[in-house]
Amino acid sequence: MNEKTALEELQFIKKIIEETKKAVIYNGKDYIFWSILVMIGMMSTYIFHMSGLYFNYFWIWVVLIPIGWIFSIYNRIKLREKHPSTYSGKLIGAVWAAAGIGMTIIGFIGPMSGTIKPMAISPIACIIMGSAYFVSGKIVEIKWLGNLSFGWWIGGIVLLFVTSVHSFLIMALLMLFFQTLPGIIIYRKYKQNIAAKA
Amino acid sequence: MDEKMANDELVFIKKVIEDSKRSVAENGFGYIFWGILVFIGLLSVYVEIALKAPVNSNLTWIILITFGWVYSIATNWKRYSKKHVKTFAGQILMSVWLGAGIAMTIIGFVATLSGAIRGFAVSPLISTVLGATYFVSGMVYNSKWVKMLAAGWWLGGIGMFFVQNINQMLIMAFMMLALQVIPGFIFYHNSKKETKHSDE
Repeated sequence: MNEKTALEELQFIKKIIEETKKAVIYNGKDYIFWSILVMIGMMSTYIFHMSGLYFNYFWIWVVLIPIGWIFSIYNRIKLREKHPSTYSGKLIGAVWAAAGIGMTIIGFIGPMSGTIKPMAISPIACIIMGSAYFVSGKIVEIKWLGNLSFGWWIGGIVLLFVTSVHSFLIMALLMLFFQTLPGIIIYRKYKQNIAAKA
Repeated sequence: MDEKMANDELVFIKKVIEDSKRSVAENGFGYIFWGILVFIGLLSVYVEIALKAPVNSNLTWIILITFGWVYSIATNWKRYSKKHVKTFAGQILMSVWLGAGIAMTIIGFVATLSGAIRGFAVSPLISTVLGATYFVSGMVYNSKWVKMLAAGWWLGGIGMFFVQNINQMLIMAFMMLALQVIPGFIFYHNSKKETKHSDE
């Protein structure tokens, strides 16, 4: 193999690898769906509490979280049917599945055992979300997505010090700005990519 | 392209992939280093509370974690500035552990200082975060046994949520040895074998 051919081959391989890396094929529906679920949970807890309707708010999450998991699994199956899975796509899936398992354990087992106070769940979830966004940004090589991690980490630190009922409202706002809006941007880009390919 | 040339191309591509795989191959030092640091920290808490020895475990943690971060940043900086080729998988692994490290530091220091979480919540929380980190690392390494470590950390985390006494420190210390230090030695052994194999 002469030097020129080797270089061309290398460039070709590099191009294929770059294209595969970018072809994460992610529709962002999970981001939007989960954020809406969590906002419903946060806002209903806030409204019930403010209007003096007291009951075990834990049950709101017992309903919402399984709905989220079922949707995520359904969305992944649907995506797999439509597009071949890529290495980056698998990694993104692993990151969010791992973060989801972690947050589910902390959100359910933590308060059930009495080790975690209910008010501590949101800040800890924010901190984990920060790490998940940090890694996701690196995988897809999109800076703004990775930078959302700082919003989550700072939000988590702030929430650690807000022990009032307003923390539910802050968490809902964090969800809106750092999860729903990015999800909509990703969904629009996905739609554009699909249209361009068609 | 004739058959010989195609064969050459395949050999070349295989070599590129092997080189890439080798550069992802973990030498395990980071796992052993952090595992031992946290093990010492956990024992200092146990010795202070259970044995009532004159040890300031808070100060010990601050020194250990600061030392860990400074050392990790310095060694990784050196390692990555030397390497001309940075693999995608290598970069992802670094971001996975960096992201987890930031999360664990916030949970360990800021969360306890704020009073939002109790001392006995730290180990199960860290264990759960480590489970997620090992799960993603297992995907990057494409290694089943690394993914199994994630299950170990998650199960250990769930168990520790229900152990709200000083024995929790011993459980976490044991988990650090079994699920972090020993895997670190396995990585080290594998990386030595890999280097030897590629030198031949």
